[in-house]
Amino acid sequence: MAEQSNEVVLNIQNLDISYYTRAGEIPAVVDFSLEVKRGETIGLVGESGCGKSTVAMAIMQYMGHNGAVKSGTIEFKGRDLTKLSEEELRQIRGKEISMIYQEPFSALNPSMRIDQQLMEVPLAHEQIDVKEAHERARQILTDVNIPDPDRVLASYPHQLSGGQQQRVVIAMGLLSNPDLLLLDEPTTALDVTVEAGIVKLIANISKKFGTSQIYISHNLGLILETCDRVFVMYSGEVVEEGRIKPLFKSPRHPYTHGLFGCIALPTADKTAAPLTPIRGQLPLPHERPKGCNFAPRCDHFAAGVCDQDDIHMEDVADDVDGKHRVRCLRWTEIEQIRAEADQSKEAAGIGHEVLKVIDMQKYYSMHDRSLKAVMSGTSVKLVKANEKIDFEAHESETLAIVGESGCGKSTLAKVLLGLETATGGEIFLNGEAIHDVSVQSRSNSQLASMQMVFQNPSDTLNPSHTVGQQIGRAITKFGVEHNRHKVRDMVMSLLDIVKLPRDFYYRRPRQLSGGQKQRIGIARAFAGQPSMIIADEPVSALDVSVAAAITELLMDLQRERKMTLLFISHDLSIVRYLSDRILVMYLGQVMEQGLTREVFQPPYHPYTEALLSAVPIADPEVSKREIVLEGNLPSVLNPPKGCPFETRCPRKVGKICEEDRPPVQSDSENHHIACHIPLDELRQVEPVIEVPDAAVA
Amino acid sequence: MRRFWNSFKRAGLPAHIGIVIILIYLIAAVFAPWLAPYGESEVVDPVPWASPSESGTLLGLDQLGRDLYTRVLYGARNTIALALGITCLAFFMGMVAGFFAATVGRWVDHLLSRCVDIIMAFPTLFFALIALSIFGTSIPVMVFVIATLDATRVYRISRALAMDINVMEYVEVARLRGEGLWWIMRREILPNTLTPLLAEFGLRFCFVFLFISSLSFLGIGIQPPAADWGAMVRENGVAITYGIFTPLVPAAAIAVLTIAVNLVVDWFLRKTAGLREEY
Repeated sequence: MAEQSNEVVLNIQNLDISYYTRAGEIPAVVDFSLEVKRGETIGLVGESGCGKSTVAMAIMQYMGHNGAVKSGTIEFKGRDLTKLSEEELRQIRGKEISMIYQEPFSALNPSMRIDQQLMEVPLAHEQIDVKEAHERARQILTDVNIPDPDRVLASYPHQLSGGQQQRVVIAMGLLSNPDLLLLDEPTTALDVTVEAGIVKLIANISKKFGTSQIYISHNLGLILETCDRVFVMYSGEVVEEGRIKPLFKSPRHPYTHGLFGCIALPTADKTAAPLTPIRGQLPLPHERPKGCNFAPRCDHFAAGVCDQDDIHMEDVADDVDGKHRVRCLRWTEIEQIRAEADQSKEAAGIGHEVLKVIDMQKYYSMHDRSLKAVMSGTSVKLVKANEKIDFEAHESETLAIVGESGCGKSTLAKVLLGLETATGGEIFLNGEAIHDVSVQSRSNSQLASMQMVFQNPSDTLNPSHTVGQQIGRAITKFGVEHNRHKVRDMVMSLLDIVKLPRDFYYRRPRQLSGGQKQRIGIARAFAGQPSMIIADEPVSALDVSVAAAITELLMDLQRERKMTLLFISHDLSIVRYLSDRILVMYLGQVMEQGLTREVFQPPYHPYTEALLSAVPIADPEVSKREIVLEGNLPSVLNPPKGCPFETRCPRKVGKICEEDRPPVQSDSENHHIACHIPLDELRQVEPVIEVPDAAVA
Repeated sequence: MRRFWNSFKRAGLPAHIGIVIILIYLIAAVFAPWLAPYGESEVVDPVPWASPSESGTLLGLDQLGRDLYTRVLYGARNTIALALGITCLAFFMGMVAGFFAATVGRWVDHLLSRCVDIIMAFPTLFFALIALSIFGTSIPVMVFVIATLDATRVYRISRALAMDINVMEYVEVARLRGEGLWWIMRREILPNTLTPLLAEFGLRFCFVFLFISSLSFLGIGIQPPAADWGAMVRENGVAITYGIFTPLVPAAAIAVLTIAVNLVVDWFLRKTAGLREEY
């Protein structure tokens, strides 16, 4: 990606890292070797608990009181970091090696101005005066593409948006002109369109500054967009490494293969080519199997081969430029086995109308009690969380609501569920009006027929009750069954449906993993045989392989039970995979709606176009047009007068966008776009994502 | 029960000492009539402050010639039973009001919180003195007054704890299931606030118990001839000037129980902190 020299900045050889706890030694990272050349970007990818952050901490030599490097060397520009004193390390940290964390708002000190925080770095490491430090701070902010750096310098962190904060953090990391930059999931906490900007910035850093980078992420698509080489980690070991394109094109290790089967690439389809989740679970560090760590979950496991000795990395012959290595004994044989059986599933027919929303509005009033506001008569401000929402959902249909944070999708869910009542408009569920019926006054059947699956599985289960109690209560409360034994039997069959063992009945939430908790959450939502499920980002808090399993579970349940699924998400790749129709929202308004196929093809709404471009795709075959949105989401308190997207729109026409509400134009019976640009002109737009025909077939 | 026993075994020496002392006090309180050699207000020998050797009793006699050992045993009965009752009542009132305020919110929360603020604005002893002089010094009045005073503190804690729980998604799930207020308070919020509240219960118990003793010392607590440690310290206080140890015995009884309860509470608090780490 950048001009690289052959100078090796970081050289890690045979690194073993262990944590020492009361339960004994826990090996966190085993046999890890890595070479980083100047200007090169290395990706570390893997699911939670695979040891990728531990590697970063080891490079910083900052592992807490119970972690230690057991053997191996970490050579940074010729010096072994494991042998340096605390004082020497302090000189290196922050100056020659910088680290950027996941959450920008906790990396910045909220009580210091940005200029003070930025100036600290050069003042601490170099002999320069305040004036020069300030100049350097200003320069670096310009370099990371922050508009209006002087205003940012004089601000406190809370006055900046998440994306700007992360840019400031990256600027801070670059300020001492480090040789190595460690990025630990730097965009996970950000919105997709903001993420796209940061990713572009990161990809340009090495070009601009010649900095080597190690990029840690669980997202294969982001790795593809930013890195030169990638290391795939599983359970403390690197299972595969290589240059990015060959590895993405033909992964060799069964785990890498499994990962690609778990993510919704543009070629995946919920009926023709469904996701193939990796079965089983990540082994706990002290329960790793003998031989290959992945063996218990591997389809190609051979007894007597894979479960014997520790397995070492082997070179894959077909790649000369940059090693492609894999930790698998059978990688040559596996390739032939891989002509897989047809896994296609039957499509469910879409039935009658279940939910109808007509012109729904939800306003919140904000009270400003300051004297000035009261005097001028502006003490009550309306927050228009939802404005004129119009859609319907049918039996066995998946309707996706897409948008970034603050677009009003969660408010919409709350209104549908009755946690809030609508300010205006009408909502019908199975023909009954529910827009002004709050949850307290809904009948049991109304409550049972619409249930919710939440984003964060650990918050949705009461830690004090057993799994059986929680599901059982839902069954009795919805009046499905009252006999204790029958309720128990029903809970058991619900556990079967979500593919959990029956003895989970007696478990408490803290004994379960994230994916298992989410399954319980789904089982509970199904207790009353609902006709509609609202799923608010149900998989975004889960690891890739777990998310795939949960997605497939939801799809299977939908096929069996013909329920309507309202899927709320910001991730267009998963939405493309599972939804039949899509509703794109921005700042409380529907910008575009239509069948999935229609939304993913021109004519696009300019916002949809940007969203599509922002989603990282982990397939080097797919080409994507790059659209990076400038600016930030406007405040809901003070939205633009005309089109809500006007402030960031790359296709803005002119005055008309600022002053008039965009008209809703219909491309077909289902496909509607709210935009001032004529449809014909929008039809001329090139598609954002191009999938080569070979991949589709 | 077995889990409790296991964690008890690992509780450490201070907690074990605390629990043993509390058990001894409880046995003394329950079996006082059988353990005591004399009646509660029986005059053994009308010699005030007779020493153990003079009177042939274990701890000597008090200012009216009653057996001090007997009085201490009966005092345990009155004081502990009353303190326990008051603490339970205070927790019931405080928790119900606190959970209610946190779950319902809005003006109910404001109203309850301001009422509590008003009561808390008065110094407790001062408030109790006024209330007891208005309503008269009877046991039910005293129980109610002290319980109300303590309920304000319990209210604050349980409201804060319940507010944290109330925003959790599992409470939202319960609402979506159509659960009523009482169920949400009792089944969703209560179990998840129990450990910190239990620790608070131990502390509150000590305060109540000391408060009763100080009211009795002022003469408006438990009325004679019923035995109470606070009253016993007051009645025998003069003796200290003659170098007689009698008032020190009930005083020590108060001090030792307070320390013991605190040792156990410390263990509870450690256990809660440990639980948090596990999550």
